[in-house]
Amino acid sequence: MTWGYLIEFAFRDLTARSAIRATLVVVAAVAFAVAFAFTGFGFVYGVERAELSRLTRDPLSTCLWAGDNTLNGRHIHEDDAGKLYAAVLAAVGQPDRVRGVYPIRVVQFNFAMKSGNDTPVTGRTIRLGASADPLPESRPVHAGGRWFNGPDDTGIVVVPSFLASLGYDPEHPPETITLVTSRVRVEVPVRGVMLQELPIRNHSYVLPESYSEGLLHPLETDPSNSTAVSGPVPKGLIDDIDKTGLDQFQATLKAAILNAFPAQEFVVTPTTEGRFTKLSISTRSTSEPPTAAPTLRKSEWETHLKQIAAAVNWPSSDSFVKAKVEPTRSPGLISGDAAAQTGFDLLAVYVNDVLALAPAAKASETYVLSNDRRLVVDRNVVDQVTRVGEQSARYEAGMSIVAGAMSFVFAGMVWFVFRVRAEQQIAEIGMLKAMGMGRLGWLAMIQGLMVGSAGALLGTIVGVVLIEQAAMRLYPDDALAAEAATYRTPQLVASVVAAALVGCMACAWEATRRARTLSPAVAIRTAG
Amino acid sequence: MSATTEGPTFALSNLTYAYGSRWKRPSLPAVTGVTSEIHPGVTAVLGLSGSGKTTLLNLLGLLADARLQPGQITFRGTADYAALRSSAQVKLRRDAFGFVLQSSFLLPHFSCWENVAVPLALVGIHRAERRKRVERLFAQADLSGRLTALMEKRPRDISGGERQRVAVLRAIVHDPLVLFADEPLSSLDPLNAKEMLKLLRHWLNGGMSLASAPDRRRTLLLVSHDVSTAVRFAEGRCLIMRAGAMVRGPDRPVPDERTALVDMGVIEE
Repeated sequence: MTWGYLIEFAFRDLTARSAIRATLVVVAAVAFAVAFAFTGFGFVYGVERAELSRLTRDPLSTCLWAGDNTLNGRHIHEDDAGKLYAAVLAAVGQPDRVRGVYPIRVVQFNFAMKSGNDTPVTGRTIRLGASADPLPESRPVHAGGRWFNGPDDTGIVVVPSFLASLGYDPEHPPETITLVTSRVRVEVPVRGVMLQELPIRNHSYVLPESYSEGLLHPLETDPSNSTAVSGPVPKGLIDDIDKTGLDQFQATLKAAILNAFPAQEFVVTPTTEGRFTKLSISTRSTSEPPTAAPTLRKSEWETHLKQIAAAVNWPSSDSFVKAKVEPTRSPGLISGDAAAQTGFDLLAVYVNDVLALAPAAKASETYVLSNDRRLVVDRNVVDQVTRVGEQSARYEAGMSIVAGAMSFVFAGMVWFVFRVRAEQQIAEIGMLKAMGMGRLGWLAMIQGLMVGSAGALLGTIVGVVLIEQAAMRLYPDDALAAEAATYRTPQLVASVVAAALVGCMACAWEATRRARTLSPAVAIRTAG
Repeated sequence: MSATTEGPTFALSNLTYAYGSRWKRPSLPAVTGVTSEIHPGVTAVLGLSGSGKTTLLNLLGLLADARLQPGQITFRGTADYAALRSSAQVKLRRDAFGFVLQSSFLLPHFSCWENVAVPLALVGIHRAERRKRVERLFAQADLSGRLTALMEKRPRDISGGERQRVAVLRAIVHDPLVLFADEPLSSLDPLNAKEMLKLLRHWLNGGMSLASAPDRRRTLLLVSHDVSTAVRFAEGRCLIMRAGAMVRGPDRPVPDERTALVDMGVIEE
């Protein structure tokens, strides 16, 4: 007997008029079981995937806060960020799963309230530029506001409660707020108001690193430097130089300078800026061995330039005596370590995959800072991901029990229907055996495979529809989460379908065992 | 039909059989101590109900679980049933035997011609060839001119007599060496019974060219309660059973119906 005939025989036996109802009952039972398992397990895995997807989409949910657990210690150095990034990469394994490590300074400034008093408020810096801190992705600002344009941008972005505490309406933020120090009051532009609070509770505003530095150490009004550039040399003098020659001019100038700076040694270099000729004058150390060049304040440079102008008898030399001195920053508006130290307080470790958080946290906790201190990591987000996984595992276990029980019931149904059919056909089976038909066990399994396939196909279609509907109802306002929750991977389909097919084949085989194993004589007599 | 001078189809030696199973104690023997030879041609197996004739047919046709019995059956002098493995038994049933029972046991989901073709399918003959052979068989067996019209019908759409004739065609389509017919006439009216016997005789005489050798020696074992018909059809070659024991073998033909009835215990001598 050929396999083709066996398959044809099985199919026609299942679809015979006398058998079609029983066949449809079995197909429906299998379809129901498959749809239930597919929907149930798909839903469990889908919700986990959707929750993880939601976490992944918010960079702050993929961010670990690592600090050295000291107050205003600033023990984290610039190179620690790079080294920790390398350590996290090594722990996570795949570069695309790690986004970056960003250093943060925690700052505290006094701000003027609308009432006139001032109050200290804590904020944080943000690193901007080519590899910018992703915080703005997590904390959009109200309409009309914006985050910073680049590392040199100024101003602050604040949380709503901060403005409210100063007496302003967060819905209508002021253009600037006043930062108060013991020496000056600085108007700080408010670039935007975040829709939500910052994740670290006492942080009320964000400002660019360089701007923060500027506020802490503003430019000196009278900077001190070892080099100054004069204003343009008077035009009439240039004509004289052309007449008398450069050597004569330099000799005259040198005598004037020596007269102006009797106790110093200087290097004078004519420089050209555009169409103007200027003098670049630098101090030089006279001690042996040479030490750092002495510095002069801008006002002192200008006094000396006036003396030089007078010595060389330059008329109308007002522009010449305007010294250009590189700006320098003040020691600080705010006293204390925070102003003096240049390190960072925190490192924000961002990953692209929430499942990389745990190894990233471990790598961060074991990282040793340049000053031999260890980092302390806030494991909040790791715990959140763990909770999602644990919840999913609980649901999966529950679903396994329910699906197992249902499979048992449906397998019993399938077995019963096949059994009844086999008992009804016992004489036919006996006659077929009498005629020398073998492979009756295979015949039963092929029939099981056929009804299992039909049921699995139907159940899978129903399951796909159900799971889509369930996902859309669970996440009505979040298309991405709904898509993630629509879990229908080939692995799930293959597992459920394979279980259904194997179950049906086993049921059919077992249900027909008695009819198959009876001798033809007994089978025929039983029917009679 | 006269007995041949060649060897017997079946040789039975002290055959005893009791129904039972591995776990159940055997009941009283249904067949006991049967020793006989059955030669090609027709042999009628006669006896009252419960005399063991169907059991004997089942044993000869390898339809019963014969593991518990003592005694010996040899088929055509070579095949000792006791030594046959299960697969060899299946092959023997498929290739050498045909069965017609009291009920036709046709497959309801196959048409008549497909039912007839089942034995051909079991030996691996492809569909087109099966169809060709069955068409030829229907044409040759259509002695009344009504049989061919049944080919495409389902068993449920034809009468009991027609079903039984289709069952006979199914039993002979592969031209077996032995045809076991267990009360094939019991549910038929006289006209259908006559048609049935004509069909069986036609096959036995090699009237159907079934791709076998023309000199094939066919054997028909006919069980029937219609003693006169059976005795006449078997030309007196009867195996008469009484309470599980054989009281007359085919080697002692019955001269008439009355003798057979006496042997069966229906009437007093």
